[in-house]
Amino acid sequence: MNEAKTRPLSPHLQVYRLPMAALMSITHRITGAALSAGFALVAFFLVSAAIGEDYYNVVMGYASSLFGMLVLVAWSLALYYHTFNGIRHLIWDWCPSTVSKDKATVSGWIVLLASAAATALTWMVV
Amino acid sequence: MHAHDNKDSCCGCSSHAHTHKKGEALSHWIRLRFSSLLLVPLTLWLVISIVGLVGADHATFMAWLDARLNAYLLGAFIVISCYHAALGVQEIIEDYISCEVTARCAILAEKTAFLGLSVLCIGSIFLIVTQ
Repeated sequence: MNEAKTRPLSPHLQVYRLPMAALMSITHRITGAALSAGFALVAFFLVSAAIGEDYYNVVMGYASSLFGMLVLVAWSLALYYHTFNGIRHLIWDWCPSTVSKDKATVSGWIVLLASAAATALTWMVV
Repeated sequence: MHAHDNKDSCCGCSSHAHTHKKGEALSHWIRLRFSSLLLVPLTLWLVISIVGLVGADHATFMAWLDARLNAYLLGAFIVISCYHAALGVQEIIEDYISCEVTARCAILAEKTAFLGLSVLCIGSIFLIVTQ
């Protein structure tokens, strides 16, 4: 068990440029963690609405300020990305023949473009 | 939420492998996927609803939540996504924290936090719709 401590970590992130699939993967994890942390804000908003109008107005004031809108746009982008990339993972799990380097690059770009398009469309239309 | 009841006595931290009961990892994997499947339609509904509600006054929001379908869908989204988040954060902890005791404590804390958050949210929704 001793070699577990000295065993090199792979890949060496300082000297290794991550391929697109790996960047998509770590972004999925980062957006997942950020969305999880964002749950505290969802709870904060709902509790304020339940307490009363004064509290609600303060929280909604923050949410609809410029900074609040930026956070919300980032939130919707992260949520769309995590959802679409999650669907990509579900397709891989369901149907392993869809897993290949080239297909993963294509589907990765589809996820990126779909996330950007869905975010833009949501904020323009709604 | 499930109990981790396999016992091992470290932490001198010589053992860096996470020990799982037989089938535990597979069930974690399945529950993460199953919840994600349920979350796909709920998430799309939620983003569009929330964006439409930005800047809404208190009465508008209360009326929105008073529509039973919205309350049920929001409740379902909160419970399922808290569950999904708890499982996902557990996976991150297991990947990056090699000391098993620290990891167990972090997972317990993280799951308690998500349970608390979902109770807060569901409680608030319940208060609003019964007001």
